[in-house]
Amino acid sequence: MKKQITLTVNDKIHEILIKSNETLLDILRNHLRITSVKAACWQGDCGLCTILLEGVPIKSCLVLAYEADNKRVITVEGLSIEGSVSKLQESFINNGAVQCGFCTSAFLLMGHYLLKQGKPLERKEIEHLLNGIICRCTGYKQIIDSILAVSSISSE
Amino acid sequence: MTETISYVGLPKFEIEVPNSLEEALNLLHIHQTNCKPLAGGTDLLVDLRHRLIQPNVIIDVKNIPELKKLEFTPNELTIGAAVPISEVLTLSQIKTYYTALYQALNDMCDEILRNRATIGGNIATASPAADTAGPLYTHQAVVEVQSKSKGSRLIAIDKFFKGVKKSDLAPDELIVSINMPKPTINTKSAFMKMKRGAEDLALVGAAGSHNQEHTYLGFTAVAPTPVFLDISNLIIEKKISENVFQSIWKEIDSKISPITDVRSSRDYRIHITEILTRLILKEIIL
Amino acid sequence: MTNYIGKSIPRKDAFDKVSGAAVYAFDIDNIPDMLFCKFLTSPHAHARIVSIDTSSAEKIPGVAAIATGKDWPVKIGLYAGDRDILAVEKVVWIGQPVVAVAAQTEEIAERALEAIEIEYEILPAILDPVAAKDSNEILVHEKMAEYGHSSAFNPVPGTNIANLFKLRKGNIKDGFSKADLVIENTFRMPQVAHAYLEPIVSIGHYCSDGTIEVWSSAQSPFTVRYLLGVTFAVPISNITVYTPYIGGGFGGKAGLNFEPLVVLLSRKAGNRPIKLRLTREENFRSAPIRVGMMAHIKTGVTSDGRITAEEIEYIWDSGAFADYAVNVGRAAGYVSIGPYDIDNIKSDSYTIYTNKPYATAFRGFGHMELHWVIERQRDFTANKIGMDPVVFRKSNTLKPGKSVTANQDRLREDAGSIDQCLDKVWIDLRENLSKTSPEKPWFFRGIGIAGFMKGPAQPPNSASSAYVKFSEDGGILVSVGTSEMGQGTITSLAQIAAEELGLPIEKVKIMGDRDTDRDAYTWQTVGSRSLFMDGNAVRDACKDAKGQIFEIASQVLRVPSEDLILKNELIFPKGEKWKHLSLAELVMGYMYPTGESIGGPIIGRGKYIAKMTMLDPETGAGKPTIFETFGAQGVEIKINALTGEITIKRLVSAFDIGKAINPELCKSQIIGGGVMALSIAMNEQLQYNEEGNLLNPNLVDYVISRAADIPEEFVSYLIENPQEDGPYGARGIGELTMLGVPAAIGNAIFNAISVQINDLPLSPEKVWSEIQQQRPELLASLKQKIFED
Repeated sequence: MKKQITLTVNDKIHEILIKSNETLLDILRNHLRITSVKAACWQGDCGLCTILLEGVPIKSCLVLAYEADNKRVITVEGLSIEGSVSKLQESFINNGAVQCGFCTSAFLLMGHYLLKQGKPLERKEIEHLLNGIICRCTGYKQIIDSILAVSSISSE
Repeated sequence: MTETISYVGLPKFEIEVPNSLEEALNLLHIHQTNCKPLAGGTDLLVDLRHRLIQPNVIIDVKNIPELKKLEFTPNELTIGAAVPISEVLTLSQIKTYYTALYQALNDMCDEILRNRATIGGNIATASPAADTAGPLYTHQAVVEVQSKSKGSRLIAIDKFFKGVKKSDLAPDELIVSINMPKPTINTKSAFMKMKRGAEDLALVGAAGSHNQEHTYLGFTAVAPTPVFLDISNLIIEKKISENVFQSIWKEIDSKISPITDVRSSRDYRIHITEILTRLILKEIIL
Repeated sequence: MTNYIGKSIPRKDAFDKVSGAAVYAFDIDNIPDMLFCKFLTSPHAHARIVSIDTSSAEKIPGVAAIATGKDWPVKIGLYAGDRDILAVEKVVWIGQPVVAVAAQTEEIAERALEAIEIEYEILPAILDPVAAKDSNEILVHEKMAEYGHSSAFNPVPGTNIANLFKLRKGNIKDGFSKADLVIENTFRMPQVAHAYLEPIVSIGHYCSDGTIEVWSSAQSPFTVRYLLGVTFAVPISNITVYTPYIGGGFGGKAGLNFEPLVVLLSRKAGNRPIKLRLTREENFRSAPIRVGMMAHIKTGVTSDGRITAEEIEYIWDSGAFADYAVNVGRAAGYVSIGPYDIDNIKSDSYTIYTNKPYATAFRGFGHMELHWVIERQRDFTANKIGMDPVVFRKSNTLKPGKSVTANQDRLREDAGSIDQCLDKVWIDLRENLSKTSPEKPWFFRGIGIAGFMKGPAQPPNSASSAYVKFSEDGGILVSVGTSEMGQGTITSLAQIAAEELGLPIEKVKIMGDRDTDRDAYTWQTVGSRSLFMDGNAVRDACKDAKGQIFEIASQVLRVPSEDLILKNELIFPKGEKWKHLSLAELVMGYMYPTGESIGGPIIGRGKYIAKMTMLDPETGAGKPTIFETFGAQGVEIKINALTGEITIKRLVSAFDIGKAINPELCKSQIIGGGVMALSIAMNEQLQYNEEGNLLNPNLVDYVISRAADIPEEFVSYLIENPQEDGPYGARGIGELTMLGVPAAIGNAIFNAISVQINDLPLSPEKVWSEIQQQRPELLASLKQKIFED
């Protein structure tokens, strides 16, 4: 079964012909060629396919494409503002949060989401909230440092 | 059968998106075992990818109003089967009155999956390790189920699970909501699960609730179905001697039958069940 | 005063990676005419292939080609030609690729796989490496005698022994006779997986003109190129290998993996490019993993703490093929005893075939494994003779001038100090140990330490090269062969170039992807060799460029070359900076005001080759590495004795790295490597059933540390005793950051609750089961305390 859906990604509207058994991950990577959305397990364990759907983080490998009809998606490209990087992206660069980079998009989007909630964040809390995404290179600490650094600036 | 093909895509299926309960029940009635309801999809899509199930039709139940209810009335908590766990956790009464359930939900899967996973999905999958099963029993949950053939049915949670990944649901039955009575004052409850690391399925899950009248215990990942015990008659006073504990443990030991699998050995599961029981009894009684 | 050496400048590739622009092999989808590959795997650990019927599969619309082993029955391998591209006569592990399909889409390829029929004759399988070592009946490679192999290795046909490395020093009998106490122990660890996040991806194109091009997530593109040339009998210059940013490697992508398979299939599919992308399950079962290990060690020691003799047997579970594992066995073999000076040594290191997924390189290359054995044994011994664990170690550690291990070269004067590393960590651990009692009576605190050393394991002719070419504005492109897999070495190499040529770092370009046609050669990106060897090559290239620059400038300025300096993009005689030329005026050739031009575009070239020897096959004597990086790591842990759960409160590390070119990058390696090692130590294990089927080929039951699993506090000490022949004194660090963590935790467990655990992983169940066996009374009494508390 094929269906036409309308999907807004990073403020751009797309009309896409999808199959019923395609996932949101499939259409973002294969149809729209947004390669910042990665995948490492295709079953919700690694978290690399995390994107913001209607502002809420979800693992796109476990969401069927048709569910995104008339919805808004944000990927890491939507965090950069006209070629320059957001505070969080800059914090990642300055705090050593990036090594191989394969998990970076997912952590940036999750970090962005946590910061947007507006509550002051504690290290232990952030750790618990980030458990859904695996990093094999960095050991997580500097990713958490990066998010905390922006969090404390915002609360000043 | 040892896997020789590792699939990356999902098998072919049609999708139906009913907007009313009646429409959904009609679809279930027509397709019976050839269809599967879809809520969050966090279990379903994994099974589909591995070709463990291959339904012709997927029925998305997230647009059905009755499955999206989340309300706490003076007498009862109603959680629609398709309400995402993160949304359930926004109801402040969950933490106050249903602490065991709160603790289970807060640690289930992970923060991102909690935006999609549902209690309805968790119990419909009926894994022996279903995190919500123990707490739901300690809160005396009743599952409201509907179908075209049998109409509306209420199933007490301790009658819901029938075997490994088998529930009491008929092929055309749909879970509508999970309901729990308001607990009596001074009820304390708790949930603990043993994991190998910060993010893991339960090696053993344990829940308990206690008030002056009743003490309920629920265990998961220690038998083909969740194990539920009413030990009210063993708790007479507000302390636990080693003798009292041994009589409770005798009951538990007779009902659990843990296995050795990739996650844990039988012996460790028995040991942890005992430790968690001690810790929970201490938390809810003392 | 330096501009860039010792500065923590941000990574060169960070912007690409945070903006989502970074391209990995995983992302390459735009090669014209590309087809997709999926493969069918063996359901048996050991079986003869009787027949393969692909006739129905071939008829499926969209299927371009189907390949079996017989299409190219050439054996491949890094050191021994023991591996089939696709299984030819028999299958040797569950998960081995048997048939590969190329189709328009992965979905069509999957349907084609479903239509393929294979008949097997099941053979007895052997899964346990100890049994396999002694078995003459069940042979994984009964045709071993026919395999070609590198002369550095010694396979034993008629057995499952892929290699035996021997180390002999002094007289072992004499050594033990001098001991007051002899301590024996057995240590074990299972096979584990790299679990790099970017799955293996390879795209192969056997072009119709007989040339080959490959895109791959691979750490060593030049090795891939070379071995493809050997495998397909194509001249190496007709092969191009492209490797974009790599999403993690850790040794799992260090060698030749699936490139031959896609090239073979491309040849069969009308010379169209073929992309293979593994699922996570395939990455666990069909791609190579890390060796398992069993070791038996016997140590003789005097009552005042001098080790007189050490005898070790290492058995490495290599799985179905030997790949890098023969070299892992060799590298662990030539180290054997750790960073210590012992007069009498007998060590045998066996690499053994079993019917399981095969082993390749893994960060640490046998050294995390061997230091589990050695450093646990050191603590065990110290405890038995009543000595402080660090005092005992320091009574035996290597000092400059002493021979490294068995009559190997003597340790350089400027090799760095294991003692300083041990002291730094031990003092920090003890000073900061919590003084308050744990919150519950079933929690116990403990500290533990481990010392270690490693140098790059590489062939004696391992080499690096670099070139530097200028653009009109005086900026440069530095070309190296080192790949970027997250470790960030290329940023440090850019810093070295910036420093050498007096350029701002913004004007130093270094590519994050690799292209074997475009880039300067390096042997491989492995072994913590890159900064040292490629760094020296970059310095050499910059020196060469400077020489050419000064030659021209000297003519123009009419000053001898020796008087010139290059600073801030200007060339001028010392003391007379007003008499300057800018780089931009000169690097493309210099034109006099009247038009005559001299010189030309400057290209600087550099190289560096290892200073090592072969090793004596009977004693292991020789010079096996170009440097040793010494280090120590320690942990403070909290154990829940009732459940066996361990919390790491503090991880303290010290490394004598000579010079931290970019301290932030070093810190990132320390934290990242520390957590990876912690994860492996605490929970990682590949689990098989009796048939040899991998039970946990996924990221839920193969348990990897998450954000909430990391230590509460990390402390890192970078000790800088420079090594004269390293770039600015630097040695390598990449693998070192893993090596001591497991043993430190094992030692801390004993310190906390007097329980000795010799097997990894230290899962909660493992810890509980050892407490239950060794101190059942402790558990019984603690259980009662729950209600009392």
